[in-house]
Amino acid sequence: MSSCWPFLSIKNRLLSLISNLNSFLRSLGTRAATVELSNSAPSNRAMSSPKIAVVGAGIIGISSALRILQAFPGAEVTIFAESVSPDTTSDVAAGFWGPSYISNTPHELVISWGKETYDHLVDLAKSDPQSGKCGVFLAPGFELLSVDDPGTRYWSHIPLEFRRATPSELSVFPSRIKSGIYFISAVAEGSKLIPHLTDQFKALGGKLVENHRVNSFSELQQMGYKHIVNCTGLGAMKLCGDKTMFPIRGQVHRVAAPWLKFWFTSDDGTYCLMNTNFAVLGGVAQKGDWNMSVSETDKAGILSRNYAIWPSLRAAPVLADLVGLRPGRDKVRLERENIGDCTVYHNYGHGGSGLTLFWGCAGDIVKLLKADLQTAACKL
Amino acid sequence: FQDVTVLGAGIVGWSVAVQLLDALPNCRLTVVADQLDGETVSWVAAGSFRIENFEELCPDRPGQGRKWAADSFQHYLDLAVSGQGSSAGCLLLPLVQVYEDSNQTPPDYLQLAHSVATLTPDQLRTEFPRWPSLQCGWSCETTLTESRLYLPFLRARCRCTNLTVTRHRVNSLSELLDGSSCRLLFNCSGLGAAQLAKDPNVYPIRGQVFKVRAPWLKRAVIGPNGETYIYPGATDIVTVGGCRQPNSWSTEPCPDDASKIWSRATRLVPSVGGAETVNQLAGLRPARLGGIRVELDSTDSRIVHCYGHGGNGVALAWGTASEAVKLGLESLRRGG
Repeated sequence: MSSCWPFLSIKNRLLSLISNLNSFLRSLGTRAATVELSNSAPSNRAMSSPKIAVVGAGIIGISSALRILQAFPGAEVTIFAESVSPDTTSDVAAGFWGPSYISNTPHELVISWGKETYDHLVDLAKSDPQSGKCGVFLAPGFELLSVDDPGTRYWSHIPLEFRRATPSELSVFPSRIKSGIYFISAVAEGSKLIPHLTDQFKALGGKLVENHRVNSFSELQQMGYKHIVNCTGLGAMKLCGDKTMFPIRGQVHRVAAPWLKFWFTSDDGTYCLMNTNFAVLGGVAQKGDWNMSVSETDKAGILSRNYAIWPSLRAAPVLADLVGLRPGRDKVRLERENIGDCTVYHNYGHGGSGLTLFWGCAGDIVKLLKADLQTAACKL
Repeated sequence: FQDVTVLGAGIVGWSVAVQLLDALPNCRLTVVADQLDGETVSWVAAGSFRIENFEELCPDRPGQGRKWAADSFQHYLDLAVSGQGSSAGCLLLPLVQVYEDSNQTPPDYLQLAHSVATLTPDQLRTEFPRWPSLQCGWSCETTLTESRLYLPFLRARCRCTNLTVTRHRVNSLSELLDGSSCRLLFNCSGLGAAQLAKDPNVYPIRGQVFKVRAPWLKRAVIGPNGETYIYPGATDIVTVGGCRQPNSWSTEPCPDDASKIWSRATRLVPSVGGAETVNQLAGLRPARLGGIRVELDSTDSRIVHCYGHGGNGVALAWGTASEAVKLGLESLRRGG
């Protein structure tokens, strides 16, 4: 790349001027008028105003699309989604920061993505007056264990105030709880945050096409997209034939328990996680189970396990019963792949950790795109 | 039947009433007050258990303040952890208190609270980016008791057949005792004791708060000098305050105080800025020089005084009421 620079510096400055002009014109609401150099090839136009398709509008798709537009203000970014909030898996999840159900994703990646996401959420919660209304806030709570030694967590340096629970604070829980971990989690409540991020995305000129199921990358290629970001979660099974994926079925019950100000999880899979207007009680993790209807057996189990840990929950009216299929995979897939004439940037398979990793993953997608767009510019 | 009267229907009065009826289920109890429910200062208070100094509560009797505090905390903790916590408006509350003074010693309530941890300067910087002068702080879990739910809860715990509630402004304690069959009178009149007990040490410390809707706030935050505070409550309402104005008698919210409070609060916890204000309230903390008075009256052994709680009414109602009831029962037994 460095050998290109002396020859292309003037061209790059012109390209940059064109890109700025285009985004200025777009911001005026006029049709994007692409100013062309007399000897420009089609790829010049693409580099000055890259046309990017994002498939999927869960937290992964929305955050990727937004960060792409923030990084490339001149780009034309369109999200194609079969479902949008509040009908995505991200809307069912409680949205708590905490790595879970990501199988063998390398720890360094979980730490890198997870830290970027956590720090970003803390920054919003601590300085943006609108953060609470957008579903972002900090919440103290406990991981409760029935064994004497809670062990270590490879991500323990990330959340605020991470420490072992003391005997006095464990004394309010049932005697079968022997140890625990306390930390401040960050909540990213999907059904509030996704609409907020979508608004930000659209304000930057992004487009969202709803009720549009993408069946193949070549479909998008025919529409003129050379860069496609694949955020389809479980949908990747059909879209790219990824047979390694599997659903991890989850069921939750939203209850009105405003007096409960801390969250808890237990090592038998039970959890009570606060959202803004309700507490989310769970959980189950049934691998390979595609059943989207609410199971009464699961419900009875989830409620009774939660009541056993915190009896005052019995007084909490149940507001909703929901099922979501976590997009399970051996590892999160975040990488680029050349398919035909396009480059596809995969960003799927986050298991139970979508809301723990989303901002960091979106950041890595932007880095991959940056590298490609700059390389392409050099090749001209 | 014993006829017993409780004067005052704030949290102290009701805490006495419940414990008295537990001890004397057959007594005929009358609660008399000029202010009921939402009119009391108990309702304005956030209701946290956050006592800075136990000894100052009762300087004449070493250790008594701590006993009141420990009894009250255990009562609220048991309630918060039990199945009744939600209907009682009593909850376990994560809380963090921060200071600008690096030589600050830990406040006394941390001796009783759970989950006590020290905040490091790094944590302070990350968690309070808009208040860089903070030097130290502690986080803990304490209790919060919201009078709006707790007073009706206490009232329901009193056996209805034995209980009468009368709204009446009393001008002297003898009004309630002369020519009546009243065997015991608990004076829980708060600020009213200035006149009713002829106590020159009683004076108001005015406070003002916003009640806002901010259900995303799950942790209480107390700023330097305890002046600024944000308390999530038993529902989606958060109390944002405050101020301490000794000898001010106004119960109307003041716009100037309001803007100062709001500015400090949003600096401490910026997401409060996005909250919708439900209302603004001002209340007069019933303070007393020399601490809380819990004792038998020196001239009339039918009277037990229990007033002067200042800003710790909710925090100490149970423990002080417990001692007051004990003193009253002893007096009855002695044939008072």
